[in-house]
Amino acid sequence: MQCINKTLLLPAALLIIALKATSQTTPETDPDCSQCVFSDEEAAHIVSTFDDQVELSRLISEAEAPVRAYVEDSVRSTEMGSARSVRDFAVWYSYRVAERNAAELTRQQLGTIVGSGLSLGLDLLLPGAGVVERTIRTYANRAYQGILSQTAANVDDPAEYLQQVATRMEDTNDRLTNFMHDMFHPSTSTEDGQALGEQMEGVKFSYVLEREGQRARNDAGYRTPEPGPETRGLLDQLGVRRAGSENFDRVHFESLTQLIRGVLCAEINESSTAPSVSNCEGEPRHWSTIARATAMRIITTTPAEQLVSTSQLRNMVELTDPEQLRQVCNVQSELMFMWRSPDCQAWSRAN
Amino acid sequence: MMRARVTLLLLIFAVGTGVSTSEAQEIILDRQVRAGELTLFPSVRDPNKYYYVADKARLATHDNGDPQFSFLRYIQANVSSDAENDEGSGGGIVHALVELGVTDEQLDDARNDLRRLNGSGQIIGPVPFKSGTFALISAFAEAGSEFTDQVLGVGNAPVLENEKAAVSLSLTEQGAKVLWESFNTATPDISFSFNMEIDGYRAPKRALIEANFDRIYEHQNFAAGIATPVLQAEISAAFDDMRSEGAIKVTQTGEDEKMEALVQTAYNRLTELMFDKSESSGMDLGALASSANNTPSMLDKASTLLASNRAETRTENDAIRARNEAIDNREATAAQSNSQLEETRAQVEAAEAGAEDIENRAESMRAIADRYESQAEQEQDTARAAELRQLATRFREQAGRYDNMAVERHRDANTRRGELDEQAATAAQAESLAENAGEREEVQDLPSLAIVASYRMKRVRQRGSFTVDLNKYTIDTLALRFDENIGDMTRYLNDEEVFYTVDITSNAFSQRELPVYIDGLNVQDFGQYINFVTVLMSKQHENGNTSSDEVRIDRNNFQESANNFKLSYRKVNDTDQDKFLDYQYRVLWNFFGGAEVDVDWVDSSRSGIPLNPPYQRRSVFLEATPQGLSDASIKSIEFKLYYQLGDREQVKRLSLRPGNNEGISQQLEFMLPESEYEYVYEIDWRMQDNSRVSTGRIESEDGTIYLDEVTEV
Repeated sequence: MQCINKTLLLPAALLIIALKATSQTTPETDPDCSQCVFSDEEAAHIVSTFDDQVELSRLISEAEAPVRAYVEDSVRSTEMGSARSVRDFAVWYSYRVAERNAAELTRQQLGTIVGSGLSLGLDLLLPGAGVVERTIRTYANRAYQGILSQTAANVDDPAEYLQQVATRMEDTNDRLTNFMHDMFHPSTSTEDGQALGEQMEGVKFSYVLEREGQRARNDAGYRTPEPGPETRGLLDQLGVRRAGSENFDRVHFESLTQLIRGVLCAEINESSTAPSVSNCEGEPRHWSTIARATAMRIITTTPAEQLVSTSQLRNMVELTDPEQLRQVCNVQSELMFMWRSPDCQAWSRAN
Repeated sequence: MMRARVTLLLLIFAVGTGVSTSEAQEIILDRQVRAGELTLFPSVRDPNKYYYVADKARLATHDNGDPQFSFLRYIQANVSSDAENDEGSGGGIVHALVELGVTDEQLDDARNDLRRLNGSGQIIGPVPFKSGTFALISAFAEAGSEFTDQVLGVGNAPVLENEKAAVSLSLTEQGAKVLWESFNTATPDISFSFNMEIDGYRAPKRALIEANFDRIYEHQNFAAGIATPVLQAEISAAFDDMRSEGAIKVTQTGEDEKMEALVQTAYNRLTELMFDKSESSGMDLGALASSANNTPSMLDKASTLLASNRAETRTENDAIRARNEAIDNREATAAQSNSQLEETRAQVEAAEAGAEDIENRAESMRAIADRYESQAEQEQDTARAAELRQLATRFREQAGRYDNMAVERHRDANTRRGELDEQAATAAQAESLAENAGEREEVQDLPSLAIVASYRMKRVRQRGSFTVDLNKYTIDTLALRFDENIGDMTRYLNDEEVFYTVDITSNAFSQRELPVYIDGLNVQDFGQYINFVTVLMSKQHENGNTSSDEVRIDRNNFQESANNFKLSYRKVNDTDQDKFLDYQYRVLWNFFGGAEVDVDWVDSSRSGIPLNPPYQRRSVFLEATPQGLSDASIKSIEFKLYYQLGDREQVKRLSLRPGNNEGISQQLEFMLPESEYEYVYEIDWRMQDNSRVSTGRIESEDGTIYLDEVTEV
């Protein structure tokens, strides 16, 4: 497999396959390659390898485990990021109530905010209309709603309530196991089920072909069962992000943004004095930006560990680190001046 | 347009007495650049050579790290005094040595930055300061009131070598109290505000300055006449009025000039012609703190003007900030719209790229399927052919799966694309509003220097009209302002070298020290005009005995001691406290060339002795336009200026040979007794046909001499 200019790829591949080229070329492997395609050599190899379609079926069947593990890790990473966002949100919310002497939202309101916030975060992370993305979104939303409804029953303190929600979100094993089974063996009685089954089959097929290519090239990637870059690229297109800090951070940020935005919007709706132009319906981008800047402030100043106390937030009201200021204030630069935080107003004047 | 150039072939000779003339630093004042933290001025001779302004002020320190700052306060315990301005009853003296420099790091940064602006640019050295004034300002709150900026003293800041300035000032009893209490607060807000002047040239501008002196003198700000010092801010305000009434006109024929700079040049020139820098100094408390005819004192005026100027600036800054915020808001809206647009575009591109990627995979699968089918066609073994066809089917099915995935991606791309047009229109509109919102303005520094320099109207009135064509390199002075916040000095409060209180009513007060400061002279003036100054002090004690002390000040110890000298006398059976404060002093000025001025004994009880030279600096501008020189067919000019220093005539001589399209703009400085302005000059023109025309010796008090008006006498 090679990273090749896509516009040149197809004619070249077809031509070379047609000519049954057998010349050896040095394969280029690029772990970050998301635009990989079969080279002529690999295509020729595949054609000569699968003499027996039974063998191909076996390999595809065996591909399910590593592909499934990959998808499972991805979904788990998303759930962990969401849980972390709820934990940070819990601290932020307590701080906000204490600092602003704001009226606490009811637990029901908070539950709604968390539910819709996480859902909106998922919409941003998985914006596509594809069946795989829809399936993951549906699963995650159902899981979150389930957790919320289970947690609401016996906890009065909002902060504790939110912490319990986060803890339950982190406990993903049983939910995920069942979901993964359903995802790879969907009911074929529905159109979506058929489509999902087909796409998962397609991914497994891609995995097998890539593995065969790796084996042919004696590629180091063959030594681990993890999908190679081509299959990962395909999964990414379908909405399955690779598990890891990048996905975790993205989920953390987007979900926290939406949770904060939910509180801001709820407060505005509750406030009788809020100007009519300044609401989440009229200015959605504005309130999202405020929430993004707040989430950015929390995340950039507590990058390694989670936010555990409101005193941490007190310390980040006035940022002094130039890089942190730049990051947060760059987000705030999309806000009207009066809406910017005092430290970013000063930063804007100075820059 | 061919620009006029400065007369670079200026030859300056010092003849007769050996007195040299001062020449403007050959920098272009209005082509300054900012490199790193420094302000650089290009040389008028070589545009690749730059001089930096040493505008980072800080208190100089002794070798042991202590600040070269002292605050001597006099109090009279248990004595109430109505005579606030009577120094004998209280007050104080502040002396400080301030370094005006830059660090090596700042210089390196500036060099690096300059390379970006001008690859061949070199920093040669500092721009020397010509002179300077200062104000000591304290933000002080009286009980129950808001903080106010109070001017505690104003005065000259003598320029020493190595970019140092020494400042000294006497404080009124109230001023000393305010300052003492300020230093005792946790976060004292006390600052020296410097207004340092540099000489240089303004680049040629297609503009003309015209002024009607007779009308200018009628302005109410100048009604007090020569007796009352006026602040620079008052002069500028009067000039503004006169400009609006047409008595001062600045006409530009080009379109590329900044009117503000032209007006400043005009004001500088008119101020030089009409006023002398006031001899009132930081040590001349009588002139500063006392008032006559129910008019406010200088310090009162300075404080009022400072407060009013700062309030004005704050108001204007608020307006600037509001305008900047409006621009910022439009930019924020545009940024928001653009960011939304870019986000959507990125989503469309990602979806399309994904679709294309998957379609390519599908094509690859079909190619492989075709290959299997082709092999099947050629296969003789039917079972094997069937196997190959089934394999082909498997790959074709995979191609179909890829196709379906690609369709999903296309659908996503189309959904997003549908939002693009509206978002693009919104972004374009927001962008257009942002672009038309105007330029962001810099907020102004709070003024302090503009009010510090004080002037006294020249006894000689300028008359008639005055014209200067700026279409040549024109000599000018630029005032640069910078502040030094003294900061927290609480750790020195018990250090008697820094803070020292003397209770003059106490029996323990057995020795009186009298600080002596020279006022209004820079270190360069020693050697140019003055050899030395001797101060004698005599104290007649109650028992009839006399104590005396003496100090001789020359260039070396003026520099070394930072203009901080002391005389003293001890208590010898002196029981009357008031009489103990009385003493006499006498000053002998020895000028370059041997002239001497012996000032007779002066009775005093003041706590410091300010030495005002009996001779004041005078200047005359020499002007000629390129056109005037050309029309008069002038080839070269010999200019001689004669003036009296003591009983000796001094001569300054300039030999000027302007080239084509070169004008002349020079300022000659010389010294005359305080009340005199009269000098003698002589111009010898050599014409293009080598004929000569001479004015002979002409007595004059004019501030400007036009060298292109050939008149034979």
